[in-house]
Amino acid sequence: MATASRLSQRSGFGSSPWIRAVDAPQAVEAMESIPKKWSLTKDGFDRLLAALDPDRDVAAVYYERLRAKLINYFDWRDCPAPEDHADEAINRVIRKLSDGEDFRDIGIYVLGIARMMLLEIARTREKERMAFERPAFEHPTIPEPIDDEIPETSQRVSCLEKCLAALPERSRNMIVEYYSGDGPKKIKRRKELAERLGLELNALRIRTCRLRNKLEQCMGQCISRQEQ
Amino acid sequence: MTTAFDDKQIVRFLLGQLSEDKRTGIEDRMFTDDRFYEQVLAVQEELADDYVLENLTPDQRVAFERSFLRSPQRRERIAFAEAFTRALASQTSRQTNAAFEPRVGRWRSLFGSSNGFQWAAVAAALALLIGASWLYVQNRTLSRSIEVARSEKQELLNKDEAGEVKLKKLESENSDLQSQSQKMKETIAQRDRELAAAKSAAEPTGSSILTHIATFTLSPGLTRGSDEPEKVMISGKTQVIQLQLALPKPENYKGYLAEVRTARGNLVFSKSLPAAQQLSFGQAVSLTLPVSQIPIGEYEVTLKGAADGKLQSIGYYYFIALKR
Repeated sequence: MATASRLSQRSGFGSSPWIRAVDAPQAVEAMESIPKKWSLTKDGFDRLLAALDPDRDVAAVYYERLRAKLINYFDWRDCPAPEDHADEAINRVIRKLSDGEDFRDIGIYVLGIARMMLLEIARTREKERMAFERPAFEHPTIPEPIDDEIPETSQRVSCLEKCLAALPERSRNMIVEYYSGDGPKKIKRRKELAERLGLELNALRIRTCRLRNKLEQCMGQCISRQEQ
Repeated sequence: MTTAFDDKQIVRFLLGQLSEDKRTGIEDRMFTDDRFYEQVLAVQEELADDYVLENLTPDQRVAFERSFLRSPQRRERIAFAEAFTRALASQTSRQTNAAFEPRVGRWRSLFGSSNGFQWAAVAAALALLIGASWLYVQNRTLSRSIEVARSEKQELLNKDEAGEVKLKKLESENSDLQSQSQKMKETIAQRDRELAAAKSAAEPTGSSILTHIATFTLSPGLTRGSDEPEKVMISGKTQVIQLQLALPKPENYKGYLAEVRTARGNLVFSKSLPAAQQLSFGQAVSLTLPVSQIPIGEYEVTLKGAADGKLQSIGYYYFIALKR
């Protein structure tokens, strides 16, 4: 799809190229029935960024976050092509902005659009079910990973080790300590670590989760380099 | 009002075990509270870790495999959790080897040696250790002070930035104000003409219009618990439908503008409306639509409040028009 994703440098979950490859046929199938009546322009995308924040760099961060939320929303709702649905939802918001709409809260508006799309997706599935006389929302079987779809765990581990080594010492020690131990020992250790760092336990948890995301991005880049 | 969700509810949300009402509640919160969204992501990572480390109860494991593993994106979370756990284990053992074993070796060599300087060496080492500990404590205290000062500075910078952003927004809004006001006046005049036309169409023989009005109440967003827009059933005799648009919260706008669009986004009807009325369920704005302009299909109603010549979107309503 010609969507906002082309204009953005993707980050965060679901950015792995092999996932996109696996999903591509499903995505096409799912989007066929969703009306395509409008195409994204650079002006439209700029208008979205301007609505998110006057500072383009800050707006880009908000945009990435909004897109990631949408991807997760559609994924947690078991939609077949979360990334494409997310881009479509964003395109619809851009269209409204281009029509001169003024939003009090874009996040809430986007969620409304996403919910509307969920109905459209459900209707598409229902039509397919009627056409092929197969049960709606059948539980898909979990496909076995194909070797060339997902990189070898050993390749991932070796890349992650490099990424961990490249982290600043303080961050590396924090993440290693956060995840070390088991059961009650682990919980106690996390509480102690949070106390030492002067953080609430939940704040420490979010901070380590962000570090983990950075490591995942680093791992993806490392694998891409090795594959080239 | 913000609803509190604990980790257990988030886990049930991720496993698809929450009621639709709570599920939409979590989704609402995720789109308005970035910190909560990050918490959900952190819980998702922990859930994936627990699965990889076999820390889930048998029931949780079954639920996890049934729901969580259905999506390729979520299976990717498991693949990453597995690699991450292994990399961390290897890192931990490396740190243990580097940091602890050699130290143990040095201490052993001190005590095990027949060298005459051993006790002097122990005393020197202890003095060094005490000195190093004191320096470490001082260093940590200073580091914390610096950290606090940094965060205070960052907070001040953020406040400055937010003020600047608000000022810029106000300037841009002011410049749009006049054109919006003009646009609204034109829309109001046009809709008044349309209303007059609709009224004359609804009263061809001068009979009471009340017998041909169907009234429906719409809430903003989709109906909670079903994810289905309101179905507006239009019988053959109905000439006008009246939609009571419930306001999400009390508003003091002097007037409103309602715009009705098809699912494809085409504007089919718009109308200026008077102030909200107080009904049994709360405040609502009444919108009357001529049936002739609403063919069967899905619609979105955008409600905008008007104050001082400025329009502000305050709610979105969805309905499906069906013929009985």
